[in-house]
Amino acid sequence: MTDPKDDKFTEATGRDEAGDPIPAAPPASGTPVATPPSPAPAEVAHKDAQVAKRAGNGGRPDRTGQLAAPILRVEDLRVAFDIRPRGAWPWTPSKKLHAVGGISFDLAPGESLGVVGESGSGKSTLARAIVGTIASTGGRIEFEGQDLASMSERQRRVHRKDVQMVFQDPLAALNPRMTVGDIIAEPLVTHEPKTPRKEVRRRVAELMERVGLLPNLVNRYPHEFSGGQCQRIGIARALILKPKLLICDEPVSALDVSVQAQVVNLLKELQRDMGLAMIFIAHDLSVVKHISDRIVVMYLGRVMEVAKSKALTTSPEHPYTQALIASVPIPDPVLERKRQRPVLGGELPSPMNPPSGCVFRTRCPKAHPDCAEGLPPMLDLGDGHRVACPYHEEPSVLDSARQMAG
Amino acid sequence: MALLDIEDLRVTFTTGDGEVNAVNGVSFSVEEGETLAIVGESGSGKSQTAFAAMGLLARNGRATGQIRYDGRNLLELKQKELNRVRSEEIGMIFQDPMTSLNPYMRISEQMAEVLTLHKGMTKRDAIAEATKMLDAVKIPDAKNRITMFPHEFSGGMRQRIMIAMALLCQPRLLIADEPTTALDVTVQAQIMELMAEIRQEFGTAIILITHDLGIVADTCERTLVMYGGQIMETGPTDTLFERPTHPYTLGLLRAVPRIDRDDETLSTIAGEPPDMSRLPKGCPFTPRCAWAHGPCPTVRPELLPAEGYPELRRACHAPVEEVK
Repeated sequence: MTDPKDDKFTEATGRDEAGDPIPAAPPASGTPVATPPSPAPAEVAHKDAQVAKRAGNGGRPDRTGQLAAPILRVEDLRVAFDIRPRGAWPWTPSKKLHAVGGISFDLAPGESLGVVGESGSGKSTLARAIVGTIASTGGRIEFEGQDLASMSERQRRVHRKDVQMVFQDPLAALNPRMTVGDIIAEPLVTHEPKTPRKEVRRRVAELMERVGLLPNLVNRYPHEFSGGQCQRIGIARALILKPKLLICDEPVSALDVSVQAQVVNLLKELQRDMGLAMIFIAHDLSVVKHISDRIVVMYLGRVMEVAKSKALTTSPEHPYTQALIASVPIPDPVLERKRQRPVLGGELPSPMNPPSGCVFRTRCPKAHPDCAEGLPPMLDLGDGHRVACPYHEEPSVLDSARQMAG
Repeated sequence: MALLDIEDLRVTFTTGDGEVNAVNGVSFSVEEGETLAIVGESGSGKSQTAFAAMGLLARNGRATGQIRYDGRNLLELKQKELNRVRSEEIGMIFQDPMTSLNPYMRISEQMAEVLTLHKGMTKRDAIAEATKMLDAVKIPDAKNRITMFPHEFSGGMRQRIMIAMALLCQPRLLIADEPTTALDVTVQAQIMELMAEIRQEFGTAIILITHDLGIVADTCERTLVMYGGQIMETGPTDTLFERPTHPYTLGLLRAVPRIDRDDETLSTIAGEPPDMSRLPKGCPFTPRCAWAHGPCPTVRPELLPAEGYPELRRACHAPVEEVK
């Protein structure tokens, strides 16, 4: 289902920006849809883009959150689920599964924060706790200074408008019996029921155009769209209330590579243009890196490391982050062969009985006997780089993680 | 002679909306002990090519052409002969290990079944052999865990069991269909390492079907890029990744976000993967291609050696220099 609008859209987002690394001109006869550059000009153009970015940064608020008051402050957030063993008597107390075990971070307005971790790391639970679809069992979620976690359902509803979510499986997230127009309009109609019909229609059309969908598709049903287009619908629905915070839970994992890049670019652009704060959750570190200002690395419900994107991927300090980066394959055979890729052994331990002390110690190549004792302290390395490992300064077992960044 | 030689394979599905051509005239071969990657997005026909070779097409699917394994055309074999070939000669592992293992059978029984059926072993010997194989794929405490059920293992462990099971009869060819897609990156790295070891130890030829260009770069000697049921480009992995000459390969390689680079904007391939029931007559990539011109929508390009890059073969009307 390729519609011309889509092409036009990609052109707009993918290539119109100053210094975008796609300079090559296609043959005159062809329709210029995707024009991948040759390697050499790409390098040059890329540097230009960076320079342009730095120069143009003056007007915007500081994105690292050093100056602006945080829009979201999560403090020692905990989420535990009650698990009943199968066949247990009704009166036996249920066991606790700590999906999120004490997480703290700040998010500045307009900042994008990446959250990475493997399955079972608690990253989706974290997202749902912030949105409010899962009740937190401890800690604070301060949104614009007010603690969402301690609010009643009714009080909290007011803030739902400001925090919206984009889900992983685009088709499953859309009601198959509603038209695209109705799906996108639903949050608006629910939260602002007094909006005149005409206004609703106008905003839906405007938004569809914005996310790269032809507004005349408004009466179609979700199954008529491809995965990438469904995700665009999901994004439009999340944005119609003009939220201040957008939470994306694995928004591109279900998409094909070529479509994934389109959606990543779209999200990045929307985030910048609308000044959205964003939490971008994914298991794929290379995608997260492209879209985030800062990255939080989670493992078994705890934060292992927090740093600016560039710092985290080029000089990771935590052994887990290092292993994670070493595990990400790079589509370059020559580089791959040069790179040492020590494989992290074992698997994620059961969250029902996590290891004592540092949760990563059972798989950690650097584990010391005293790692089993207390929780490792969060060490501040400056410039917002924090790491939960007292032995991070020891020479890295995974040197390759550093080498490849070059 | 090549171990597997596929010639002009076509796979057609008869659906309510008419005929859908999933694979359109695909030809390639795999040598003894070689690793070949088939790369493509969803709907490219990469999995259906493998399913056709294994006789696993859905009931409304029909395959024509030749799939020669060791001189015999697999498409013409009787069910019984095919059963023998696909257990003893060709092994296959699938994307989701949970749905490919029988949830009601203990691992020991599932694995022993293969050996008692095909090798005529006694159950006792079969279980001993299966245990050895589980050891080989590094399942800790294989001796005790073999009596467990599939749900008692994690995703990575289940995939190891699948690999062990596929290797029981020491096949000469292993087809792996997206073996690590459902797994975490750290576990993916473990499984890929295991596959490399197996290849060294048993000399098994491997066809790796995947959408992930990253794991291809690390593991496969030769790569075949598919789109819309056709081969777009094929050649040695090193050359293909370094100097892709097909617009689609180029676009795909550039669209992958890379951890070792920081591009401000990712380059994209415009549009969406093709609707297989409405493919253009010519090159299926035409609607998304920047170099599309005159003959592209109507004349199907042949897979020919690329000018100046004889080790690469590509199906494209645009001149190599321009694409570069």
